[in-house]
Amino acid sequence: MTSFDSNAQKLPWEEEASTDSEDRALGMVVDGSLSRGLDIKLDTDRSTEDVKVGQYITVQGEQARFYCLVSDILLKTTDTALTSMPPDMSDPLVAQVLRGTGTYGVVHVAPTLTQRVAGNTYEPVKTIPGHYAPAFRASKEEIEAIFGGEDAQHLWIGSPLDMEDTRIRLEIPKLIERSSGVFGKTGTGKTYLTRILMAGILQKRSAVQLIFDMHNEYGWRGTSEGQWGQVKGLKQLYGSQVAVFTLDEASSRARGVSTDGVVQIGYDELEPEDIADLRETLDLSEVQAQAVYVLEKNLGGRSHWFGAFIEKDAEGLKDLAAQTNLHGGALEALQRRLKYLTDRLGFLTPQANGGNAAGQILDYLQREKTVVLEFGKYKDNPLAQVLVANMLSRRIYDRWAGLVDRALGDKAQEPPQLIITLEEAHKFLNSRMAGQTIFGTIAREMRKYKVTLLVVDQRPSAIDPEVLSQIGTKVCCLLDDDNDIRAILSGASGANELRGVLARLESKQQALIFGHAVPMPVVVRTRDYGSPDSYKEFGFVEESEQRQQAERNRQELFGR
Amino acid sequence: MAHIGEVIESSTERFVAQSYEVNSAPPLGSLVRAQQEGEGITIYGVVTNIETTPLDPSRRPVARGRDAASLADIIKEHPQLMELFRTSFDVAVVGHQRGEQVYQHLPPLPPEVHQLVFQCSADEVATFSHDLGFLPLLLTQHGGPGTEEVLAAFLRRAADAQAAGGDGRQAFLVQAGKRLVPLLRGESVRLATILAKLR
Repeated sequence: MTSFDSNAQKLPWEEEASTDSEDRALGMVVDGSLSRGLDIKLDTDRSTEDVKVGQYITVQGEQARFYCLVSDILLKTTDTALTSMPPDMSDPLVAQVLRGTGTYGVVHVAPTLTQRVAGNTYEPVKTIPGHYAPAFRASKEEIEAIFGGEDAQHLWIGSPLDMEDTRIRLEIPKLIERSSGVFGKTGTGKTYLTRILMAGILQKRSAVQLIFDMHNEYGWRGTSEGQWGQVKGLKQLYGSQVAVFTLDEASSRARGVSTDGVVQIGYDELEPEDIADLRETLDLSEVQAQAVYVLEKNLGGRSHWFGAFIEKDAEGLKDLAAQTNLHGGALEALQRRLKYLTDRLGFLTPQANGGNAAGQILDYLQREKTVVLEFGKYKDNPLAQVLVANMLSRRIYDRWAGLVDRALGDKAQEPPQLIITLEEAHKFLNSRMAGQTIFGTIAREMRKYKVTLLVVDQRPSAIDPEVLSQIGTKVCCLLDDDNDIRAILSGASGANELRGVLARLESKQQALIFGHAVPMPVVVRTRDYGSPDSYKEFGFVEESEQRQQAERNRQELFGR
Repeated sequence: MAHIGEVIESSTERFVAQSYEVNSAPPLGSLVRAQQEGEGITIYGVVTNIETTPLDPSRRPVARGRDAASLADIIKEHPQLMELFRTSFDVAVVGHQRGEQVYQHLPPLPPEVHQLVFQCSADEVATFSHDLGFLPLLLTQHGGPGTEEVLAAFLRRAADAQAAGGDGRQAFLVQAGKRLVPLLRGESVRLATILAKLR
């Protein structure tokens, strides 16, 4: 007979999980396929409530480690009688016994990335782990190794679910080399996220930005629905790196914004293409849209035609019609519409004060200064938005393409990488307009000319699918319209799994990020923007501190 | 510990032992052991049934206590009665021990007939039930009605033995219950019956 001392010997069911990996152990792979994803049966001591959709799971295969995203959580029983005749769960023994045995949880995960044991490199998933491979909750170290460390190449955007101390970072070169998009229905934090992206790019000085600030959110001060109410804009954080232009000086002054320039557009700056871009917004007919090019030829060229045409009286129009073979009625209607335009848009003047604002903005950009263009009272005016955004972007297109071509591959001569931020993007990039306006062209082919878009929108389904497909990195807040979700996910690998994740995001401060700038899709709780600490993280130094630092420097240099 | 009876019928799966005292036997579900001297092993079994029958089956006992106040009175009046009966108990074999090693499967040979039978101490019960591998044997071998009773009785005793040094009673019962779930797949009513008896 063996001597038995129950105190000295730990019984198997009394042993406690001790090591970190045991703490993170969740279960084992029991089923699955590469296309459908893996089923992980939870260990008997794990509850389905320990796992959340969007979380990361690692599965340790024989030759590689698999990183997976939880896309679904299921309840299963070994015996159908347990579902049709539930046992007496008021008995704690019965409840404990059945938990994890007769009834158990299964976590459905989408494998997104593998790490070979040999070589330590990350690859897209091309195989799956075998039966009974153990699964764990991903650790902070694993996640941070995948998403990169704190350096000039990486932008901290937030933390994965339930891992507040872990930082998810976007790879900046990849983020800016292709267009990206921030999507989500209104009130889900698009502006908040966009501000973080902009500030991050500014902080790392990786690209210069032109921001069409339709709602006056980014320049000097913005609003936030969080506890801070008002948050600092880019100009406050990055001072001389940022220039704020405004279309509406009165509004900017009323909001206490110090601007670097007021945009006025002289009639002489309006080119026929600028008016043709407004075809949809001004409701011009095909004939009228074509007529502007004829007018340009007949009324003194690019810098004179608009002023000359708009000044014409009835007699003059009749003569013009005869001279150009255009229909008199059509010309009259066109003039009426253009007069409506000049009436509505106060920044259109016969002669702009302070010269060519568009040229000035381009010069700033070329000198690597980020420009925020505030729309002031024109924030809900599609005419102003479409006209100004298209005008500027077309001029940028021309200048950047020219500079890149002239540089002939000499990096030093090339213009800086430029990101154009476009809110309400569906107004510019819908299927009817994407083919005609400059933004469609930029989205499709400007990558090689170092211009990309940052598209911000609440109705991705309204954006031209061809443009949407060119967007490299997608940052999606909650979307609940089926069409929008389908539009966003079209072409993404594991779209079915991501769909479940996307529809279950919280309505605030959570986003699913996938595409070019992240090695695998990730759900993040976005980092803080608005608290004094968060400003420091973005590199902001308070004035008092600046003075103290200057004083310290002085003392170090010169002594007391 | 003194022996309590001896083997009078023997097979690899089960044996019958007779108690030295009439009306006295190890309780239902308790663990007993007997040697197999040829192999040098100790065989463990669980008591599955206890019965007391007349020595001569052709003579049916008659009731005698009309004027007696209790069983003791009857025996005092008829002291020969107890010599006419015997008490035996059935034991389902659930494992054996060779040297220090306990095996939770059937022994190669059954205990010899007339081998002495001992009741196991709490420590021995604890050691034997440390591993729950005996559960399938107990469930399948003694397949008759009452299996659930025997199994539950044994688990209760084992849990008490395990808990002697701590508060592991519930933990042991949960662990045993979890082992039963796959064994009783598709028999959720039977499972529920056993679990209900474990309290």
